[in-house]
Amino acid sequence: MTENIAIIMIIVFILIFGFVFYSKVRSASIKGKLKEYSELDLVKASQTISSLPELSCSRESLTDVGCINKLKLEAFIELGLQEEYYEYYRELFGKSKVTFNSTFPDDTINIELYNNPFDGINNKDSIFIPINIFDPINDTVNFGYVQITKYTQPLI
Amino acid sequence: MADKKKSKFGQVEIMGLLIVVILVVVVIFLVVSFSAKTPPRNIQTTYMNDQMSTAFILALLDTSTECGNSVSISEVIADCAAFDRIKCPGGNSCTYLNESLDDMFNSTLVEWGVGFVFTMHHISFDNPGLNNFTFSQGCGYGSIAQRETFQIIPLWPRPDDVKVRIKICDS
Repeated sequence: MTENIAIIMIIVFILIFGFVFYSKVRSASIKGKLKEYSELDLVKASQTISSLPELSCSRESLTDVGCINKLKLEAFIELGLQEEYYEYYRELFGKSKVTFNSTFPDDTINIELYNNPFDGINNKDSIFIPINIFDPINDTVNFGYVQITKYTQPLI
Repeated sequence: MADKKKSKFGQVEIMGLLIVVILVVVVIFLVVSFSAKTPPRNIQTTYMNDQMSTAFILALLDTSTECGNSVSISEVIADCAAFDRIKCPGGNSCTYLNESLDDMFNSTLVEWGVGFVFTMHHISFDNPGLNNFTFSQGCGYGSIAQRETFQIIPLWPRPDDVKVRIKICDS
């Protein structure tokens, strides 16, 4: 009788151990998947931004790939994304931050296009895409980059 | 006596069964452990490295300079390789190019920690002073090349050209 109880206890212990182990493995795999989805979102946002017709340079009605028009960028900022256009761009960019920076020859352009973090603590992952920022007034093409930062909430 | 023997035999059977159960659990534990250790896909880094070489070289060559009136980097490269006609702040086109490229790499790829090798090939760049305009960071022997892109700058009316090459690698 005692042996039977001992064996049942061992089997119960194995079951509990197995359940705890499985739940740990599952939680690690869910964390991995969440990171993967967040990275996919980041890639999607970067592709969207690179090809936004609202911002890109155009010559003779043809869109110039990898080039942002500085005047369009400034006009876009003046739209005020926090107001009526907010919902549309929130759908496109989600919880992220988009900034445009120029580094050469003019390194003074540093424009924050969009910023929508979570309340509280945010984890950040950034992606950088080199671009040209065209200034039609001075007729100069600056070398710069767009930085897209994806916000995620820390997992407990 | 016979009953005691039977009960002992039953206990041994149960112990055997227990050992089998423990072995099965250990095997399952090992299998799940190994499958959980599969490294996650690093989509962001792969995408960034993939886009980086092409986007970087295209943006770089179209960039304006402070030399002359609306002269682009690709025109300065051509001038440095063959013509030496453009005057730039701080000297000739080659000096300007060396300083400008250094600035551009330092403010982007070096700052982001991306491994790269940038070179420009032309017979006139093949000397110790210019060293083919080689700039690099973290592309050693152990690193893996992710993507390589090159562009050709023609030196028309001359028959030769300049090859501008960038390789992005895992640093």
